[in-house]
Amino acid sequence: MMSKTFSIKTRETIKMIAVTLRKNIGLLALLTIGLLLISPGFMLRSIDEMGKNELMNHVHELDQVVLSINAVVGGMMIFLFNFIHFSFLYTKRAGDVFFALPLTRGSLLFSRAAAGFMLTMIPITVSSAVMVVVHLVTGVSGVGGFLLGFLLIAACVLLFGCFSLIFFTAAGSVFDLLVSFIGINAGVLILVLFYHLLCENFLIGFTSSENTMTAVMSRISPIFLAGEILVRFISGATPCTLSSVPIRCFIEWGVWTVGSILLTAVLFKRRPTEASGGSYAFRFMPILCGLVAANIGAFVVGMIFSQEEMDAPFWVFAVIGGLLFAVAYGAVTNRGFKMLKQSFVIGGIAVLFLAATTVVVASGGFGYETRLPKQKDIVSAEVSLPGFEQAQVSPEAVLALHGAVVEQLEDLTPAEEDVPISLTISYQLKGNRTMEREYTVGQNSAIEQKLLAIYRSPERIQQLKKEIDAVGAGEYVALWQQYTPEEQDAEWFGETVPLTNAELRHLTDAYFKDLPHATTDSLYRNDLCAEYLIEIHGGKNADYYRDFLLRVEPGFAETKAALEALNLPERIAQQRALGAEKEYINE
Amino acid sequence: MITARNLTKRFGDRVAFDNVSFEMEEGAVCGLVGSNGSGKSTLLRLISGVYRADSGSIGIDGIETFDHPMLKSKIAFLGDTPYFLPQSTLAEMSRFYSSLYPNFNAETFRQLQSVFPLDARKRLTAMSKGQQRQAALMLLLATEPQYLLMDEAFDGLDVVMRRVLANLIMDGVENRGMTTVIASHNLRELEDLCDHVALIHDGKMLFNDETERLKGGLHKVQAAFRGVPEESAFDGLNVLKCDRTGSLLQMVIRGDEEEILEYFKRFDPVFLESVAPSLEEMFVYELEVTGYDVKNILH
Repeated sequence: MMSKTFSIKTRETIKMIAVTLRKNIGLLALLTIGLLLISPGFMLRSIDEMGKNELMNHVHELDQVVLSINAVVGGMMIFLFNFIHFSFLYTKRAGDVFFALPLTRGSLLFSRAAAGFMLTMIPITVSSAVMVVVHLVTGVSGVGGFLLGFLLIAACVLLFGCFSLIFFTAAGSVFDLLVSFIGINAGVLILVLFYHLLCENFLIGFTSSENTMTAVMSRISPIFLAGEILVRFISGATPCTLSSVPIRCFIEWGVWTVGSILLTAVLFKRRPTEASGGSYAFRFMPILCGLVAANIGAFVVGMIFSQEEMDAPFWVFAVIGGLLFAVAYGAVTNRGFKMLKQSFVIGGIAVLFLAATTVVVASGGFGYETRLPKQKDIVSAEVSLPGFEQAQVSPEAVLALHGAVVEQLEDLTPAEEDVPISLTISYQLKGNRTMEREYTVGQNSAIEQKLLAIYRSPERIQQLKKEIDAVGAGEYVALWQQYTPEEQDAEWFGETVPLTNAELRHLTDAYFKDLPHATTDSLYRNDLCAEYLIEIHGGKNADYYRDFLLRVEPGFAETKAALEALNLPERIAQQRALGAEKEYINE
Repeated sequence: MITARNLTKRFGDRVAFDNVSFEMEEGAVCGLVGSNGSGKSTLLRLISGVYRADSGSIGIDGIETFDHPMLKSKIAFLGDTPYFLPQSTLAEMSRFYSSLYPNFNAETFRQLQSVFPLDARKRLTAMSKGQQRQAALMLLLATEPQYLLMDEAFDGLDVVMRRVLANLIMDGVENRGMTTVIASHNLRELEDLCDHVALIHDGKMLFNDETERLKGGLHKVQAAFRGVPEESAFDGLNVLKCDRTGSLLQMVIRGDEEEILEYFKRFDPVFLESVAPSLEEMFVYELEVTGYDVKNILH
């Protein structure tokens, strides 16, 4: 009876891996030498240069360079080796030999994929091992971060390799492999951008932050996810630690990797050998590609011919674009206009999907616009406005503000005379969930009052006090003052002077006494409402650096008195004169 | 024994095999004939486990070969165009096969090297079509297969190598009881080698029998008479086909040769001769009776 399960026979698999490794020994040697030339070859030279220039504290930056190079090389290599090891799927005569070998399909798939992974990782491992030895011998920086980076690269190479195998298995020819791989992976990211744009235009409160898009992209594209993991790790804290990578990335990595392995295994087992030389072995792949192409076509053609407005002409041209791209892609896949009917159906579905999404988004996105979190679920809440620091305030106050915004969704659009401002409300919810809304609002008294209550609230003042205290003594304060406050287009000038802890406390205490008397001007107009701007910046270490901007309204008597008492305007002026003198001498 | 039970294989809308059942005996040398695109290569791929049947089964002794490594290790399949790993030499390919085929015999391979004069260190892609075929045969025969499946076995081989291959096949049959299936659209090529023959056409196996049984009692008799007798005069014989050209009569008759010749002598022929029909002619005669236009099937 035919085996119904996906079996892998250990002995034959090992033999096949050994045969494959032996066959690629030359390429393996070449890659290893190439990587060794970069690290430690080039790196040793750089370390030497740094030693001469007394820049040894920057050696960890070389680790980042090595890890980046290894990650890029790893990605390219795993694709190349998958290409070499699975190209037998695309020619009948090669398929005759490979599928007639005394191997189960499981063994064939696993041995070829595992050999590809090993061939990719061997040069990276050798190069990394030598780098670790260099670290230990020179003692210039620790090896922990570097080793973690190596493990992450291996994980990402595995993810990329497994995911790409879906395309290798589903394709029937090299051409269609490349079309589907590039088309879907690039196409999906383009579509995320387009749909993001759609949500920004139609969905009130939709957060257009970079994080939202990154999260969507990493969920929808494992290649992007692998890139995100490595970029976050490499460009995060120094030395590199796993804490730079969010836990969700590791969960998504696991889901994508296991999912890709399972899907590839099922597809490979069911793949008709006779598909070699054709376009695709499975119908889902050209349909998926066609849908992506048609969707992009609908967006692009619609936007080009409707000046980026989603009006009637947009939809007319979206239909044309969707059908056109579906037919064009169908012609590429079928090597001619052989399946026009199917292409039209695919194009039609893509346009319908776009239309349905637009309707859903424009009608509130299934309650997205009016949804408020339950108070019992809120762990913390923040409000951001251009006028004041991001502030964690009481969830009740933020919910009240959010409720006021939701009640006035129809009136949020700023009037022509209003200065539109961006208001962001974000919640940290139980279960490590978050909720964020971003609104562009005009002058609206109901919202203003709620915002002002938050701005003046004791919780916010208390939090601000705590954060400024954490900056510590001896840090710097800049006082900014307008040349001519009466003129609306006046520029600000200022200088930075160091303050003692006591001076800083004296100044901020005065400011906090005045803050409950703040007017709506401070909220979200512009800085011209203020008489002075006090900028406090500093931090205990590189990981904690803060920058605060305190607006001193004309009515802030306590603060103005403190400024005079500390003689700050005079000290600023002296600092300024000193700066000018130095500049003169330098010249 | 190679067996197929209600085998069906489709390629899209095209049906390659439609509910076909057959058996091929152990140790037989079976010629698989049919026109181009009739499904000969497909059948070989199905037997060797390269293709999977859509329904029904095909394999060895009732066990499907698809995804069955143990059975596959007993089968050597040579497609119509040999394939080798890129840039590989014969020596490298022998290492590849020896790693994966448990029965690969290095001694046999060494002996085959003396039969096929090929440079084991030369890149296989640099060799001629015939040499590549020889290399592929060497590799497959060195696995000492129980089942040798060849698509257009003699394609690209010169006369000498054809004979060498035929001898090697017969050697395998005698020493190991190897079953050989050779697909070809050329019946004459198979005539001297095959003891079984099967004809595939239009998704069906029209004929599958021993060559001897096919030949058995079939005679092509040519006779010239001064006065040609009426066709009805031969009603006493089992005449399959009769052609008359002037005084020359040519008949294909089933029966005992001596009895047939005695029957003819009653009409005092000027010339009388009985010759064995070719395999192609036998197919034509046998299957025309069943209503198939075999000449068109074969060519």
